[in-house]
Amino acid sequence: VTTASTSTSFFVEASDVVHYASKNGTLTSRTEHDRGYAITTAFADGARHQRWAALSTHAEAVATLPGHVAQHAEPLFDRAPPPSANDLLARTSTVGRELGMQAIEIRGRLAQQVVVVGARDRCAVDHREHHVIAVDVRAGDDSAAVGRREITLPSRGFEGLAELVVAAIREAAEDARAKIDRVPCPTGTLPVVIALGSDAGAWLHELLAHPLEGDVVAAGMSYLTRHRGQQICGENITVMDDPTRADRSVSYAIDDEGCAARSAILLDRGVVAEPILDARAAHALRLQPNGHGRRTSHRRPVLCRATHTMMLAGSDGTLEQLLQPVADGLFVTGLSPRHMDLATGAFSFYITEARQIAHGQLGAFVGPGLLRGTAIDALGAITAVGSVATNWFGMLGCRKLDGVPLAVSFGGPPIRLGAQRVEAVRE
Amino acid sequence: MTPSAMCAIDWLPVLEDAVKQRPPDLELELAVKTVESSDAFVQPGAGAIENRGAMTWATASAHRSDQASVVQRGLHEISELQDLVREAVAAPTSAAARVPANGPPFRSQDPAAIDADIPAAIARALLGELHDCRPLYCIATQTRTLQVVYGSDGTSSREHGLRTELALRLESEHGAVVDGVAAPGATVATSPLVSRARSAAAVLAAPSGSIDPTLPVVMRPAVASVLVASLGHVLSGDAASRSKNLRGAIGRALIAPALSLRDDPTEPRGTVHRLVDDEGQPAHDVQLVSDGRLTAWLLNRAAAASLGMANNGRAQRIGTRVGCAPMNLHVVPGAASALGDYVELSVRLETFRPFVRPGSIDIVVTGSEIRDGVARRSLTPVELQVSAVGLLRRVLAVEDDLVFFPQLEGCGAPSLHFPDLAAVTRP
Repeated sequence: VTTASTSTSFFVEASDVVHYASKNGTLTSRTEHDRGYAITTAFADGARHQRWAALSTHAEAVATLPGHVAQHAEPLFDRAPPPSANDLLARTSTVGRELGMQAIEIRGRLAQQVVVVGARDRCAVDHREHHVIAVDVRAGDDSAAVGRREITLPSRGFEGLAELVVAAIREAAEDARAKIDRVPCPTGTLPVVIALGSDAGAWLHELLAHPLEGDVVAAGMSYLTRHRGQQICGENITVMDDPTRADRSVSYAIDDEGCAARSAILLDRGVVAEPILDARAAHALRLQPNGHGRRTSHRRPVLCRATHTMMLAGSDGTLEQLLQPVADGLFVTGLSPRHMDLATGAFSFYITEARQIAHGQLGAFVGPGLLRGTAIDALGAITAVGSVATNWFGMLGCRKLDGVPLAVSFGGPPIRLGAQRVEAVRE
Repeated sequence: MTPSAMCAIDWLPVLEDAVKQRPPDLELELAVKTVESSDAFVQPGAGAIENRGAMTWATASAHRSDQASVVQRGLHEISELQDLVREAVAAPTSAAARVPANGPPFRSQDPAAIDADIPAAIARALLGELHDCRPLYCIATQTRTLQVVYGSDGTSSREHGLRTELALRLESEHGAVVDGVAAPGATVATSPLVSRARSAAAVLAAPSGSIDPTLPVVMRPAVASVLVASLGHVLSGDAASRSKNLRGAIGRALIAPALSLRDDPTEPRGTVHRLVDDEGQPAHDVQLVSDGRLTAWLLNRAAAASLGMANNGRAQRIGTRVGCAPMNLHVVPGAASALGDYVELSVRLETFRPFVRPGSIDIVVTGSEIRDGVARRSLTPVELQVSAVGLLRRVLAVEDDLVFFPQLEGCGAPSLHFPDLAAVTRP
């Protein structure tokens, strides 16, 4: 039983996504155009009733939506088609072969979204876009000898891109050749350095961002609920989820409920701070929304979601300085979540890319492994925070409830942790 | 014109006209799909999120030598098809001139319209019944689809469907359990899900202890179906067409002789009912494994052409990507009798990547030691990081209690008997 409605909101979306790829000489392009709206009624008990439909013309928007919302939505129906990537792919797809690589795949995603979010008495427009390219090259027939680079671009254009892609292919080819001589991942407890501004940034996203999503906190299912306001790690550690940084990260000016985007500080100098909130979770927790209400499309309801989870840079120097005291450890640049128990903080990740650290120097790449632990122990084991933070934009996205991926990004410096549990797994 | 009204158009002649006007060196397929859905996300003690809508998509797939282009967009007016074809073909074409501004009524028999209030009612009833099992949420979805496909190879098909699905998540100190039921039509029986959820909650709440390792193991459908879904990735024509090893595997002994596998799109107990696939090809009942020997692949148009075999209609379109996917893949039930003393593996705890790669699984399971048909103690959760194919080679017997699982790509299995726990953990 729902209580009386308290507000009605409107969301209009124009989304154009081009997925382009070149795999061993074959070019493919998949383009998805999506225009539609959702009308959501919010009730005092937190219930939401949403109706959605497609839109094709501005005349339909005028007939369906309040005048001020329809007026702002007019530019959504007059947009230029996205540019073609065929020239870029044709110019770059032969480079891998020239470098002696057995297989090369270039995949790109160029996404543009314009949203209009309004209520009865207000309306706002937000333009969002991202352009990500992933390059995979394989040396020989060894399926694990794959080098990978990802490029995140600030604009939709293809000008000057070929040079960047060629450079990425060359770097990936070097890694691919080096991975032929990889050694097995060690098994045991050993110091680990994690590059947070890489694919391995998923570690922070899982350990801190998901458990601090407001709906998880409100349901009492997060291991961090009982630690709110408590110091759980060093004062040199501040982690935030920040949708306002435009540098190679997912960003927006307003969230999908029209709330101004702002950084949610998850860990403030080691103290568990604020949750990631949409209006519904904020209402349940008697807090104010902080601009993290996100949708995967107009067809799906708003949920509180992480965006760009990042750790602020510390003062412990360069990567070389972080590696220097490690006699025998692992430098991790690729982590893929295996399991994360929100209630206890127990986690395990697949180590998808890592190198040995021997006497402070980087060594050979290692084969696949697992990194295990519990979040409180692992965060408490951070002994150094690097001075230079970088950002990384994931190609895969994050899935929650409905299983549709939503773009997320990670950022931060390299961090060093004391003894962590690492295990080799079969290739 | 509302999206629902789009269903009143008979798309086949429209698509046929557009395809006939294509450039002569181009293969072109046009697909139009209307989806109406109603879903509810319900949490104990919180207001529900109810979400309803409808939309029609059109997808144009154009192929010319080593280039492929796919364009998808929502359609609101029939005349918009011309823009779609132009963009996919990437050249001016006369196809648009033959697309009419409107069309005759849709002639296929419509399924019953969805009842928009059913999902929330089902979800609330289920959570009420399971209130003492620590449910975190239930998602109920009802979806009605109408799909029309016309291709330059002569493909011409229409299909409609109605499906109801429930997903349930329980929390425990050992991790989360995610389970569900789905069926074609406007209703789905919830009693099997209630029974499994109660059983899982009892296993997870009971004290765990050491288990007699010499006892035979009975893997219940909720766990055994993971093996089937993993095997489905191996049996996919996508995988076979990429692998030299798999290409020549037809006729070889793959798994235990006690096992036969079918993929039957009209299996009455299955989670889907399909007569054609997403490329408009007839979806046949396929015997994939007979007495342990591989007999066929799951094929779409591209995989069938690559392998030089007859298409059996297993194309699945997700967004603009088309792959091969099973339709009610299952182990054929056997006639094994229930055992008296055994270890029962009945509960799977949530991990993010149960199918770590084709043919391999990485799951966490638990269950009970059963003596004289009565559960004596729970098993400490066990991690199974093994080859699904290797595990299925160790099966001794098959019971007749076949169950399908929507969360496992709709795959199903009856209970499977193994010699002992070592045969399961180290096959």
